[in-house]
Amino acid sequence: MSAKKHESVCFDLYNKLNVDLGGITLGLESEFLVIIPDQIVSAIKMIKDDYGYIQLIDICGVDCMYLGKKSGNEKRFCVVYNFLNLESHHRLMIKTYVDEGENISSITGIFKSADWYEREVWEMFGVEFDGGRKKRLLTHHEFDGLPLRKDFDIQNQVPLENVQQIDFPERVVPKNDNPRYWINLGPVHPVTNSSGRIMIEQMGEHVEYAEMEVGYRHRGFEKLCEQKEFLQILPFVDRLTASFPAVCNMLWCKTVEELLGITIPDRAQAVRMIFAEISRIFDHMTTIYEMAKTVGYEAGMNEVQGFLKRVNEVFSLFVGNSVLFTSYRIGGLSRDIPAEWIQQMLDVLGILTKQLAHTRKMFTGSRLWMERTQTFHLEASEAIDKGFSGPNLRASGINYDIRKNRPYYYYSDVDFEVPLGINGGAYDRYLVRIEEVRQSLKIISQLLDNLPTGTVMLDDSRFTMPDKEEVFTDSKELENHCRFFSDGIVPQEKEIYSFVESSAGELGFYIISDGGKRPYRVKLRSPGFPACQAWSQIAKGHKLEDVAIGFASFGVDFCELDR
Amino acid sequence: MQEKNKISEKSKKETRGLFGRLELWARANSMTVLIFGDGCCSSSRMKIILDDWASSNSVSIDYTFNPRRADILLVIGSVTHKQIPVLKETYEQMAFPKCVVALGVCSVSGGLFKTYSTVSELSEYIPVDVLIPGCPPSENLVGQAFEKIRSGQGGRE
Repeated sequence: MSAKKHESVCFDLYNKLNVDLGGITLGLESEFLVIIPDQIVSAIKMIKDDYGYIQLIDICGVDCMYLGKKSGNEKRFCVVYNFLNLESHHRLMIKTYVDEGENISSITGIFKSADWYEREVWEMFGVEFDGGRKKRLLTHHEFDGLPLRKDFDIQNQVPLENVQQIDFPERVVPKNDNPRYWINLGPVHPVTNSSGRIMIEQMGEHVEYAEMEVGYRHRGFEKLCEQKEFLQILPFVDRLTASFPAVCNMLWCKTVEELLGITIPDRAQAVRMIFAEISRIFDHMTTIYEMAKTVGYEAGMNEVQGFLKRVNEVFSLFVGNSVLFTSYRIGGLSRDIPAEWIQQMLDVLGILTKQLAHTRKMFTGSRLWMERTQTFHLEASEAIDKGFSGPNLRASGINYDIRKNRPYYYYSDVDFEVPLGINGGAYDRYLVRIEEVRQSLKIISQLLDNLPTGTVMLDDSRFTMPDKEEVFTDSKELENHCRFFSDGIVPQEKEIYSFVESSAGELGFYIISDGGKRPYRVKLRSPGFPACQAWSQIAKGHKLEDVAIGFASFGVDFCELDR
Repeated sequence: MQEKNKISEKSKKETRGLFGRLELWARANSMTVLIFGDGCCSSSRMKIILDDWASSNSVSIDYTFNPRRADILLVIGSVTHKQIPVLKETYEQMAFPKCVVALGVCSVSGGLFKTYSTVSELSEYIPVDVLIPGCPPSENLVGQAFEKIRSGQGGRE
């Protein structure tokens, strides 16, 4: 959807809501609706019920300490809500400004997935939500301070002495009831990979109540971004997660490029797509491997590991290591893919396609696999309400893929299908994933066959590094060189939310630029965040042995979740 | 620490009898690793690297999440303050002889991600025997580090 059409939808909505809510309290800031905190609940309820914005994508807090003076806004904080209309695929962002000590009503009554988002805003900024829970999410329970406020020192470390005990203050167990037991899984546990902790209240053989503790891998990425220049952030986004290595950094480059209003060369777009698809294959197969591990399907594990090894080999042939993809730059790529690599990749594609068919046969036809994974069923409406995206949402039968619905790069030109599940169980999530791997192989072979020619780096002296040879001979290039290395990239004052379809779901960057060298605020919309949150709600009533399978089938990666 | 280890290595061979030496040999060639953490030096890929090294050196490497069974604690990626009590407990639960391997520069010093939530000095909390530097470490270095552990340098009785 073009920006103009987007603005007109916002404008229409603004007019309609103005009539519905009695006017004067709303505002319109380019693409954002501005609502006063008192009316936020009624406005969001109306948006959900009457206008079809049924999925909450993100809630983001902003400290307007230095931003407010410029835009004429007096209040200290801004909370940005991000909604998705699944029919028209339109995204709506709502802003509300609050001052210190001022409260906002919680929207957990309307969107269940709002709970963790609100907790995060409360813990990071100190904005209180009436009716929301006040429990630290990403930082530990003895932490003192509000990290994402502008006056917080980034090196302000608070050591932790003791682990938080399992206690659910909101759970009142009636007397004369069946005896209940507590079970603690993790953090050192194969299910959570020593990065998350699952606490379960058990009754008989079933889960009565479950909660997830995250934040073991919280590294303060968003705060770190505010300290760095746009180009300096690249190494951090490279290292944000290892499960889809070439997607986070691609998205960062894409977002900054949109912020600057530049288009990268055709060949760079195609190469970015190739590596995004390789990452997708890798993450999907890793998820299937983890599922097989929890089921105890050893033969399947070995099969998938062989597949992964082959993908790893071809990935590291170009990259040089097996973990990080460091070739993305703002404006394209730092180097072109060599012709030999294309040849090798084409050879490997044939082998992979054959091997995938064998893997599919091994898994899909296995009775053990089929029977053990018939668990954690999600209905379509439930999946939307809980904020799922990507393969987990499609496994419930909802046809929403950003690559099809809001195509970026050449996704509108390549031929691929979007697989959908029926029952929304762990088995469906597996089926969707393995079919997507096949489609990804198809996309890669199409791209390699029709790879555009030309350079992979944009030739624009404002955003890219000038050629070293010319710097020594041309005085103008020397000037560009000096400016590029002293100032870096300086975008105009703008806010942008950009997103791509990663292997786990919708991955997005929301960047606020105040016209300086450094981004004012960076928010990563992580696909695992709502999935992890929803797990504890879905787990209720399931058998204990299914808990691990259900969690593994969501394909959550704690690195990008905790940021 | 290193000198101490060398002395103990020498005395080990002298004082132990046949079964003692057999035990040492068995220990050196079958390692049980507990992987703690999952950073951008992803544990799943490190497993592939380790398995490659193990199969080419005829060593058996087993992975466990049970601290009491583990010989080697492999700390991967940046360690946060939230993880510290768990990490300490895991280390204390491990039976002697035990060895701590820190993989990647983030794990020991915070590395790139030196912020309010990450630990900037891991050795303040648990003793680190072997550090595999790099971001991410190369495959050769991982192999070298495990070769060292195998030959008896690093680790404590």
